[in-house]
Amino acid sequence: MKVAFHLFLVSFLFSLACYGQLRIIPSWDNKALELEQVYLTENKDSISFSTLKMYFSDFRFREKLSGGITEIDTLIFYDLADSSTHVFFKNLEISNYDDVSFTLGLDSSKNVSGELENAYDPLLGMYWAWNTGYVNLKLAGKSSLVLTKTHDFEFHLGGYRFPYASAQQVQVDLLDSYIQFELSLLFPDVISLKKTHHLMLPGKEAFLILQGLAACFN
Amino acid sequence: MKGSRFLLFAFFCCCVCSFTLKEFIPSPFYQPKDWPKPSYDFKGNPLDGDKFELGRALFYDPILSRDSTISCASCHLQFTAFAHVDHPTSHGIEGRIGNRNAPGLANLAWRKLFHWDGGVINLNAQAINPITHVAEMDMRLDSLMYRLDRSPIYSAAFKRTFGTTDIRPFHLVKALAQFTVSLVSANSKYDKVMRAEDDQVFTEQESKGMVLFTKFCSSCHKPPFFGGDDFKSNGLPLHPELLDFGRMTITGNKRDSLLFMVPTLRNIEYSFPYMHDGRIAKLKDVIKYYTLLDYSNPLLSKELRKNPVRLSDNEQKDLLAFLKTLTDKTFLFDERFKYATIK
Repeated sequence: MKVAFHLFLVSFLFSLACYGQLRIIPSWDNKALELEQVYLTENKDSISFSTLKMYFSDFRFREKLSGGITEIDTLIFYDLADSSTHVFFKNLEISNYDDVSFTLGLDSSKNVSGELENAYDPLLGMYWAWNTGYVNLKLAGKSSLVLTKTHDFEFHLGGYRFPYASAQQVQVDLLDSYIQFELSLLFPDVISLKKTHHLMLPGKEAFLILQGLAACFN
Repeated sequence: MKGSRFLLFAFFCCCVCSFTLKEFIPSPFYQPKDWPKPSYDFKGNPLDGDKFELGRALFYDPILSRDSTISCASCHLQFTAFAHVDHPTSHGIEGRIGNRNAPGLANLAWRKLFHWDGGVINLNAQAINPITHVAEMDMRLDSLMYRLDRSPIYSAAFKRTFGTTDIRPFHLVKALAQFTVSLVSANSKYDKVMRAEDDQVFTEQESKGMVLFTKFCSSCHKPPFFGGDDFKSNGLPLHPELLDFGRMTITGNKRDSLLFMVPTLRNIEYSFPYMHDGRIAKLKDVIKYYTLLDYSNPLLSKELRKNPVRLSDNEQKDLLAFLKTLTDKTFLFDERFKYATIK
């Protein structure tokens, strides 16, 4: 009886904690991704991640009952290394919605807005000084697939100019209060680390990788 | 007793007045008559004399660079039109050399794009580039915020002007922009002649030079700014060491290869050396360069191809005389833009 009560209490507190929250959970083989943890790709190559930072914007939640859309036009910064950035929309009851669409990255109007505060703060390390704008997603780490001495890889993926406006639309069903971001799907089909292990420029390559990354949300 | 009360009241009034006057230090920015509306977003950073003074002190303070040796003014000296004389390209900390000539700073409120390649689209954000660039100040923004926070002078100044005890990059760049946006140069002989002011008239040589300028140069160097947000090819070949492709670096478009921002010609007499990489030292040689240019080069800007600059030796001198009328000495020696520290 006492155990049942404790279980009830824990689940009650957990549901309270989750109320109105949306989490993005990066994963590898369906387990929460941890920085510096070594993982194996499908072909048994080792890979670890030291940085995963990204922007989300322009959320559109579709309500279960009415089918109405709740739009939240905001910019959200996510950093896997900083747990304070992992939870969004604390006042929104996520269970009221069927699905959500959002932008992975920032559209051109946000890039050129001139804002430098809050999620736009250059201290977050996503601001591109040489070519005004923001990196949509940063990914870095090490892999045996990278055939250099250090085995480092680093991707700063961004760009908002035609024809490679790289921010991507994502739509996912809201079966739970979290969205999974499965990174194992990237290798080797989306990113071939043997061919490309550093990318710091906007362009076709960045656009295609971000397109592949957008497909990793579930 | 009444007398001492009066003195006390007068002292109180003086204190209030001095405080009030301090609050209303005017910004030097002004809108010249007949000029278009500025592009700068003054609503996002309203003119404020106190913030201007903070920005001015920061502009001249090497605290912004990693080893505290280089300030903005190291490459942008007031008496040389806020450009960098002597060095073809800018130099940063530890003697590092950049790959572009430091351009003059004037009338930035009317500009939408910055840098020779137009890669920066906001005056506020512009300052982040030289501060963090490895060949310039090479300073990490988080380290700089820490340094400013730890400085009793700057922490007090940011608290007074922005009401913050948590200095962030947007505070810093807004303060710097208060200074740079105020650098208005509109008081040259040319301006005075156009305004029919102080009985100023062009000499015969200057008048001839203006006719030539209007015919050959003004399609790109349009008055009243004499340069701006356009990118053109002036036929300079790629520098074999600097390998600077200009606008293409930003757009990724091959058609933008070797296009560079059309620089302002205001105060051009003092902003030598010339061109995006400072490869021409003297203004008369820039004019000569255009007279000797191969106008059959298909990569030249269409303005030049349509209207080749063909000038005799005397006409080159006339054009030079006109260009010197764009010198604004009240701007170059304006006390409000000189070196200052936080009071």
